[in-house]
Amino acid sequence: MSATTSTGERLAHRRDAVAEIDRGSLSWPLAAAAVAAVATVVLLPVGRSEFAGIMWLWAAALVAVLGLNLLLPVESWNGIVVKWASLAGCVAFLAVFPVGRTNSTLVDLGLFVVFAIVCVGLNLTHGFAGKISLAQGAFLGIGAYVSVLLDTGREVAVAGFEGTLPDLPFLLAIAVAGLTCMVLSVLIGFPALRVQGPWLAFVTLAFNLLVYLVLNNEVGLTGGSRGLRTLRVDLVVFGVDLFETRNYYYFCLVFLLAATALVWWIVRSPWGRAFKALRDNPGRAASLGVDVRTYTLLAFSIGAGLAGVAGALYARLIEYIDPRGFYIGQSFDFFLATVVGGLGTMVGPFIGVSFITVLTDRLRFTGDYYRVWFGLFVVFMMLAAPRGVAGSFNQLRSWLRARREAAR
Amino acid sequence: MTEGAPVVRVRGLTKSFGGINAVDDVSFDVHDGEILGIIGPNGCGKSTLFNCILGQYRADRGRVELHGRDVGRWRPHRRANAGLARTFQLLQVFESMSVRDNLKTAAQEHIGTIGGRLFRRPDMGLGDKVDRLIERFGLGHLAEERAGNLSYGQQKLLDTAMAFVSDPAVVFLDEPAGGVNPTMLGDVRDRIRDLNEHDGTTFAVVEHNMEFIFGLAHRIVVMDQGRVLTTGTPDEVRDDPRVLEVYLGG
Amino acid sequence: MSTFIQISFSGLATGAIFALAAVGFALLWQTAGAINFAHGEFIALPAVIMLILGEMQPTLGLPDWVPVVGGTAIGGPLPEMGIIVAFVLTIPLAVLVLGWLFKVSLVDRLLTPGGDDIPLVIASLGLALMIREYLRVEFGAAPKQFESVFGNDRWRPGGIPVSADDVGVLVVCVLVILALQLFLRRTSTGRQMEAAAQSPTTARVLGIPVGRMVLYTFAINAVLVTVAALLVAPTTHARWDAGISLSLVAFTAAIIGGFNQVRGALIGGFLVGLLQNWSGYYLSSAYREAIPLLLMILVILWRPQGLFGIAEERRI
Repeated sequence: MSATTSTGERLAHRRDAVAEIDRGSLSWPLAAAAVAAVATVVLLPVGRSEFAGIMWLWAAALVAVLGLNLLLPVESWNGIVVKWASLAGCVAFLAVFPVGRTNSTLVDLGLFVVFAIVCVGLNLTHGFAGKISLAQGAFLGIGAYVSVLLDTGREVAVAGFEGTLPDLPFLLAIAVAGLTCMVLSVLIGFPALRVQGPWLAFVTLAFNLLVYLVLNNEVGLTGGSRGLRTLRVDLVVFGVDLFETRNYYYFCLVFLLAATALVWWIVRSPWGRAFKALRDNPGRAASLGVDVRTYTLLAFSIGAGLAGVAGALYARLIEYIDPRGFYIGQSFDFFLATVVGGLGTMVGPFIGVSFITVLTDRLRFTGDYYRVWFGLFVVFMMLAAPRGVAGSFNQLRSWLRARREAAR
Repeated sequence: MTEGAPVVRVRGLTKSFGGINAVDDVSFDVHDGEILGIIGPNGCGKSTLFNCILGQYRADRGRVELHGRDVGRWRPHRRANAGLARTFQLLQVFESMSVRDNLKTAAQEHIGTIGGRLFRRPDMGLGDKVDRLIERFGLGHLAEERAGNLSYGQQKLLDTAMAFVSDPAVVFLDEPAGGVNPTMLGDVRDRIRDLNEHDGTTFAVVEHNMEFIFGLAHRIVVMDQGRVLTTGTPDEVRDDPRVLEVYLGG
Repeated sequence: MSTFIQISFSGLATGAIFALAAVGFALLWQTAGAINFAHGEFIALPAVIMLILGEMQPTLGLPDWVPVVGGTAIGGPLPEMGIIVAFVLTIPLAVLVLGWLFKVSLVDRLLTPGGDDIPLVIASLGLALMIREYLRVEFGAAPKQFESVFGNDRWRPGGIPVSADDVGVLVVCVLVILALQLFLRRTSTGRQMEAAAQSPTTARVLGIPVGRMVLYTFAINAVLVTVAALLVAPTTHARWDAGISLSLVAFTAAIIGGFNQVRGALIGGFLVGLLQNWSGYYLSSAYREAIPLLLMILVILWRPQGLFGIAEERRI
């Protein structure tokens, strides 16, 4: 290098151009096959309670869909088509599977939907922002009780105060339940500014317990351990009578789709990067201008707000609530479900929640011991696949891709 | 190198830990467009000084002024958004995000408000700027690579680029030569010099490696036991007998 | 006044069990960095096992052609004797499973130096779920109880009702903790264990087999939880979900008292027992558990080393 060349010119020679994204071309046969496979997965179980003979066909279609998602590059046109077809299939499945089911099955499915909302919220707080929370059970409870209390015009007596609560329209009650939880979440949000990891786990656990004690003991307000009957009578929203379990299921499903869309929007936006920065390295994040305090409080309040909305829906789904349903065991369930599903993925909460709801009595070989097997599964996942089901799927996909590229 | 106006003024900065003055009545300026080196033997207070200027620590006494404003009571993110960028001695990148996303994160928080950012386009129009910076730092082929998969040297480049991407008033580099392969030191120095000469970026660099800093800085502040010993050009400092004594003495 | 003494005394008695639980939990945290959310289940499980072995005369389910000494039943004619024998038999079982097996299969694999604590927290939650649900399915129907090994006598010294069980629990706990302290301070193995806990790298340089010291800690914890199980079952019932509340008092007491000192966790246990009883009587019976919880939150936020622990730069 000559002495007359400037530093800038020398560096310019070594510039390393950013590559253009190569999306490849769309293969119509592949796309058609993908759509067909998705359609099979969605439509085959409709109306059937036993599908022994065609189980193989269904499983093969599912494997085909998963395989395509695994092998196609995410940014290629093929990959994009397959991904969106799969997502549309998931939504369609949730909409179509309940057709022709009994009320008790619909309640089970409704439970899946409602708990999925909670875990979508927890996934934002813990999966994306890195703040552990063992308090979602408490927010589920607060949301449930607040919505019920505001929706039935009850008479209450607490701490020397007696009165009749207003009777709000159901949608408004749900909104207030969510907002109440968002506000109360600062009670764990502020501690989260000071402590991390296991310490934060303990604080959120203690918070859950304190909430439980209040719910259990303020009999004048909550009915205490006797619980509250929360039947779906006189619940008409936009002309639809929610007394019908089927109607109520779809009502809850709308909220789940909205919650998922909200979290997806947030994660995709600059907030998503800020949350991930908060998770990966809060100190560095602060030194780069990320307002750690505000984002932490936001992460908690969104997660808690979603749990509160879910609580309002939950109360009317099972038509009876009592404090035991919001004890720390419930928070453990949400936490384990979210982790096992895959933290920091959009699909993870759905997979995880199925482990704590719809699968519980469907796997015959487990019998009554289902939850023992679930516990074992959790342990196994931590040892073998700590990123959870969805996270491991993504890891596998990256690894396969790296191998393909190395082979070239 | 013509001396610009002071961008950062440090006056009487003092920080003690349990009775020991880690930083003791330190005053100096950082002039616009210069590369200021801060050197001193181990334990002289260089890192504590940085942490006080940038907000990781709250100084006990003294002022830190940026463009005339006292930022001494501001939290780190606010100082960063006002134009004080830094790197840490210990490498810190966001491992789960791609190189591009790391840089976008570093750049985005300076624009608009938190609420506003939720509704802007996902990349906030930063795509081109980030890509150009990636190319300048020689990371073009790694733009979409997960930061955690990069080698140490590549992460170090990313770390520096992140401090630089928001067009800060001053970039504070904490031991940029630390842990770098000796054959790469020249590249690191060239890059800093290039950013300084072509973009006019002002740097304040804490460094152990004397050869590295003497070949780079326009002015040098020498610290010893929390105090400023002397300030001057590299030649002046090199010839100052007190500096030699501080490094070789007890 | 006598009421105050009475509730204080019974608070100390429950606090003694809390102290046992807290010390074991704190030992694992301090020496191995292992935060075990299944700690309460580690107490509930031996309790149930001792109950079965001691009182329920279980059969081994062996085929008829296998000769069994003394018939197919295990158990003694007197409940207390049965329980004591069961206790003696359960100790090595606990050391093997809750000590060695737990360490080797989970803790060693999930705790990497400088790594994250959370995977072990999650795995221990899974383990707790397994034990809890297994107990629920197998034994959940009616909570069992076995009688106190100390008998049912009650006395009234100075007009204050005191039960033999309370006294027995207190005495046993104090003896066990004293024995532990003596072991740690006076024996060479114990001192090696303390050194390994304070600074593993320095200990290794000194030739101390740190891995084995950590194993001993797990063994000691297994013994402590079994003793706690023996003492707690008469008062708390061998319930399938007793584990959750036992875990909670262990965390609360260890954190309040100070998890990096055996003395801290010990005092924390007694303190929580007293606080619960005092607040239960003088403030509100319904919220008796609230005061220790609030105190735990305050300690975590402003004095994480605990009221009686040492502030130190630990990697945990």
